Amino acid sequence: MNDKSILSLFAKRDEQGIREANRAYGGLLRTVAMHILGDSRDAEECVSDTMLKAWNSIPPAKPKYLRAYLAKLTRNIALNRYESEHAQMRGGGEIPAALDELAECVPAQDNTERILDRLALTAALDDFLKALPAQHAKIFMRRYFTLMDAGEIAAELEISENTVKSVLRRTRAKLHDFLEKEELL
Amino acid sequence: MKEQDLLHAIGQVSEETVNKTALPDAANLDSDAHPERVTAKSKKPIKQTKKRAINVHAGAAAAVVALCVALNAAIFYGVAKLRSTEDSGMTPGMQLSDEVQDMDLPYIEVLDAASNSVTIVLHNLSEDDMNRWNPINYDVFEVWQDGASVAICDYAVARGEDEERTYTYHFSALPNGTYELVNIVKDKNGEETDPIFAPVTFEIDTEQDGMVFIPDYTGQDFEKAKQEILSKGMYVDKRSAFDTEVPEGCIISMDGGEQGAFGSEGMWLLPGDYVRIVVSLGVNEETVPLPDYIGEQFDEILTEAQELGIAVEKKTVNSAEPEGTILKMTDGSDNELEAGADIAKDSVVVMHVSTGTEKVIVPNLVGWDVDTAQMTAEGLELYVIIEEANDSASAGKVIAQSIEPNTEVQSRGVLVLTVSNGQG
Repeated sequence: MNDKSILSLFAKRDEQGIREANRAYGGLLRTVAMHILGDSRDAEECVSDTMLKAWNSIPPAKPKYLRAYLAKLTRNIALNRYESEHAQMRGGGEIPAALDELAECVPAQDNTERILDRLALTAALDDFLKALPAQHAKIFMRRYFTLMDAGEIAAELEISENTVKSVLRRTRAKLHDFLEKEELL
Repeated sequence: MKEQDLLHAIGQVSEETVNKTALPDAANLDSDAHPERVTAKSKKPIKQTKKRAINVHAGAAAAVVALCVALNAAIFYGVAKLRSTEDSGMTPGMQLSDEVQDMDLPYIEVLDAASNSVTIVLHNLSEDDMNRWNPINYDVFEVWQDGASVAICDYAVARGEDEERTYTYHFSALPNGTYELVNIVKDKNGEETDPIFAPVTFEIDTEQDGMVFIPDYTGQDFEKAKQEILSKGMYVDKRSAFDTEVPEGCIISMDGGEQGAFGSEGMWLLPGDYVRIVVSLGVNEETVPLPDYIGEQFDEILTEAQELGIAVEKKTVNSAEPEGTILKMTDGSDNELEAGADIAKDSVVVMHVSTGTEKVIVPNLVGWDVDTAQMTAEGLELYVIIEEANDSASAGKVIAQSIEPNTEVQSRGVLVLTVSNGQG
């Protein structure tokens, strides 16, 4: 069933929409949640929460790419769950490693007040990703959005793990420069 | 900012970006499979092609790479040239380019060329090159012929759907011939440095179907233009119109009939085609009083205005007025016109018409986590402002919203979400 049909079931408040969304994207969403939480039962609950939030938000929300909309919801839910379970965000799953890597993009000592222009940062990230070569953007987002590890990315994109790591390193350096230039650090 | 903020922000980028970049292909996932199995299943053997290339040069790999770097201009030139011709009968060339591709050396592939543009794909940019490659700021292509620059490309990009990037560069129209696309790289100080790509040759051959190039004569004397067009074996279809700006006897506009309007560079037409030319009769002494259309619906007054001899143009403006409402009338130079003013017959009146705004119903977002609430509200085209407050609710939960739930508001309005910091 395509996105349009699923969305129209949501619009008609037909719960079959949830089953169809789960059939189409459940596996993907479980993978996303699994990478963050590292536990299949937690991941399963995350997917259920995603479906509930999607059910409550569509309509009024009108996602253009249902797959991406659901994946964003799952990622948020999983990340929040992770944070509440690990106060310091250090523990199992892929999060600690990803955070260590992303620390390269932000200043070592953060003395600025925690007033963050979230919209500006998100918009800037979007610009940054659009300006990257497509393959580099895929590698970066598979690592830091979907939290896949370098080995999985290499296998999926059929490139070597070293290439993945080297692209990630370069892209983080670029992101650091970019955020500095955009005065978002 | 902390790395946690960055990790969260990455989760908020647009759906389009997520869809295109973040998610592994569904083909590699079995939606009903257990997560662990999904991960294991997606592991595929790494493509062997690169290894083959390395094996070929095993032992002497460093020397080969060094040699290639030294000879890169020559090799690239050859490869690029061969690749640009898209001739399938080029086995030796293809072998060479395969090796170059496997060695990850950058090259340009020309997909298409027109009289005023060339579309290329950039292959094998290394990370080093990528760091130097910034087409927006200081990298540029020039079109050369016989060793001299004949046109500078404007920056233009259409992003490729797949792994490679496709760019279309525009330049002022050039006659048919063989050209080179030359990469000029400047550093941040504007100094020219080594190019990333060697030049690639391409052909402009727009006359292959016997097409004739007619330049744009807009604003120029009609009689002179007519002679030139007739001398190329084309016909001229003359129309006349009053115009307050273009002097009498000069050309207001040109089009190629069914081929559409002329671009500023001109147009390629089939020999024997008509070139339709509108010639100015100068200012019409006759005047008409401009009716008061402000507040009226554009669609309802259009016919009447045209019958009165007003050349109506429509300009849409964002406004809360209902869609189609005329807000303002101006002349072609953006001077406001008052109702009742005498205007020259056939002169342009620009109607500023409201686009209206869509109404949306604000959902109840209290109790949601802030990211999901923000996404939902932004999906409704509301601007979201987030404020933190001391509250006992768990951090990141929305505790208040500035617009009551289920209120109908204009889209593109501002919604303030108050979020708990968990320290109440």
